Amino acid sequence: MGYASLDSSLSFPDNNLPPNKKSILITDTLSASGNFLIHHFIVNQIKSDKHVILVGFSQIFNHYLTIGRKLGVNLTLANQKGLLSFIDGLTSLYSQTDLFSKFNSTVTATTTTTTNNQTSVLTCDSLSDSPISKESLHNFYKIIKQIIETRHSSIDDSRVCLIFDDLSVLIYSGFSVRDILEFVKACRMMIEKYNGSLVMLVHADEDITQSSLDDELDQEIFLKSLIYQSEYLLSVRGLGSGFSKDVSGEITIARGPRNQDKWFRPSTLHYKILDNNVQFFVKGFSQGVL
Amino acid sequence: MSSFKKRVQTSQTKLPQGTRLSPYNGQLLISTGVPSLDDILCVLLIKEDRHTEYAKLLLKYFLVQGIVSENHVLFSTLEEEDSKNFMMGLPWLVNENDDNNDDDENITPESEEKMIIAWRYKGLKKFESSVKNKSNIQNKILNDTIGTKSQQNIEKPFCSTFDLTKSIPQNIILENKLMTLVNLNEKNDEIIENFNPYNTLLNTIRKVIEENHFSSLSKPSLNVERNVLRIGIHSIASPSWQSKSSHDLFVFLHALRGLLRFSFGAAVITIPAYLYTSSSSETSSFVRRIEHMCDAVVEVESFAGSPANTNAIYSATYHGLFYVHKLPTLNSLVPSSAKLSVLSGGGGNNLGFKLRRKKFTIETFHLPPEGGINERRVPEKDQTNKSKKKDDKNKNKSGIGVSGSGCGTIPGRKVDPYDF
Repeated sequence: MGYASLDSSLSFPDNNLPPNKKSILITDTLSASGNFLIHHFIVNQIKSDKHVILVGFSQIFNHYLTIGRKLGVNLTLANQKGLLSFIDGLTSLYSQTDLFSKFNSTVTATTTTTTNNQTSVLTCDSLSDSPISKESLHNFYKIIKQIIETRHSSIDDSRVCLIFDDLSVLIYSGFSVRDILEFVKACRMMIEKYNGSLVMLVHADEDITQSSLDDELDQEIFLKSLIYQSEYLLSVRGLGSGFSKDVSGEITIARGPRNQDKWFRPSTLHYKILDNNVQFFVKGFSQGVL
Repeated sequence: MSSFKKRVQTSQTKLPQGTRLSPYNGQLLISTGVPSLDDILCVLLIKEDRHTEYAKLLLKYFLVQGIVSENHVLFSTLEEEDSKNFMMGLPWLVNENDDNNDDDENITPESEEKMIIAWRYKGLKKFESSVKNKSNIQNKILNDTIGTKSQQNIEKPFCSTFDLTKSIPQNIILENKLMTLVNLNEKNDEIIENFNPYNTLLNTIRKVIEENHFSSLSKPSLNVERNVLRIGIHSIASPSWQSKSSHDLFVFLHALRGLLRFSFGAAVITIPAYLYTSSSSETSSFVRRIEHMCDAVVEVESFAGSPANTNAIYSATYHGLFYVHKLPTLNSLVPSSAKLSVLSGGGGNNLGFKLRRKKFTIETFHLPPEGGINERRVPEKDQTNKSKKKDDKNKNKSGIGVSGSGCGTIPGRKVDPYDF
């Protein structure tokens, strides 16, 4: 399973998979990156033989592949079996970065076949002239929908997990808050229809208290809207007292506003990132400290 | 770069010039020119210092290391009229015939004999506050024939030593075919609407990558050896960079990250982040977003210009502080440089830098002994000597970088068998 100590703290029923039709919001800061949690959810899904759709805005497939290998899953194999669908948002979101059209003689229009680099790409046609527009997001949504519909013919118990690595990229790049929120809502409704779950990673360490600019206000609206719509909140921060070798940071597992689960226990833990595992422990009980 | 890792296992591919594989996870490393900073191929952001030009100096090191290793170098800035002027100002290699008599590198052997009381410490290593550059000087390599195929394919050292007092020979700049200077200044008297310097720069970088086969997606022909592209951008987002919206820079960095992930290249970008702070020393949200977009973030803060720091005791030894805000965590959970860097001790140490006459070094920052070295510990009975004491304090000729006998726990010290 993912990180054993996290599984026991989250105590999701049903084989450590995120509960049906729920969404999880991960927030992180610059000093404490929340990336490791993404890997946790990927590993759990793959090991339970459930489908994962991974949208990578800030990392390429190889990054997840290498780390997945250390954590015990082979993502290439999962991709071939159809358990993992990767959408490369880093190179394919805008026409400016689209490298694949030049180097791949066969530009794939489907999204689950493997190209040379075992990633799925958006085609050039889907990008309009001004790439930062509602159309790009709409096309994005269509691609995700296509993946889910082709993969899961029956709605029941698909337990598909849609993971957005770094939604903050969208808002930093200039998409309007309203468009992004609509996009997320559309994805959430589709996931609920298919009995799946949604995991989103957002950066939440901007100083928004003193801002009056539109940009910062957008960020605040964006973040708060996402929080209100999520059932589980995992907030990752650095330690308040500074850097420590034994503790990489602090994670707070909290209940979202819509959450009514009785079995859920909010907690705050410390964690330490190792090369092939992440250890979670109650504050003050780290092995380096004891 | 990702696909490159798999190819390495068939020992037929040769590593590009100026790179080596990291011993921990097999990733490709590139040298920044400063011995204490080794970089994975990624995007490094340097937050500039006010009033001084240390960040510019780091960028110069990066670029000239690229020229020496025969990597392709791409440079762009809007701070100067002609990017060539910047390139002319790069430092050059140390000549092996020069005496390496730098300020406090003269570790006198007498200090070892003085350990009469602390004789137990005699056998221990000297306190290493900086990373010694172990690479051989260029000229010495000529005698080394191990691993070389011909006279021309001499293995260059990974990180060369540079001499700041020497400037780069002119002909190297003028004749260098492996250099691209991007001129982003608008044409004279033409105001182009919707001129976006970021887009222009990005397109140029894309072209360079395609033309010179830096991309790891395309397979090069058999005779062409892989090379590495080094991108240097000075003072991005300074007021000279006019763009319509603040999102242009994010899009540029996002696109650059995507390009570099599938190419053999690294970028070092300096940004005058202090221009964007809203309140004292808090990172503005604009800069914070940029930091999230980059793989690694360091900050250079010089003591010049802030009265509290210039009068402090440590300002004689260090010229400023060096912060590491973010380490690149490519392809692994743990940043690989945390293990590699002896200096930072896994991130726990404070780092300071100093600019000596001939080179720029980054060291662990530690406070000098209380009161300085010259001050007497036991006050003299004679009253008239009190003024003398004060003079000593101000002079503070401390050879602190050479503190040999460490007593007790000094931060950053790796091996101390007496610690328990």
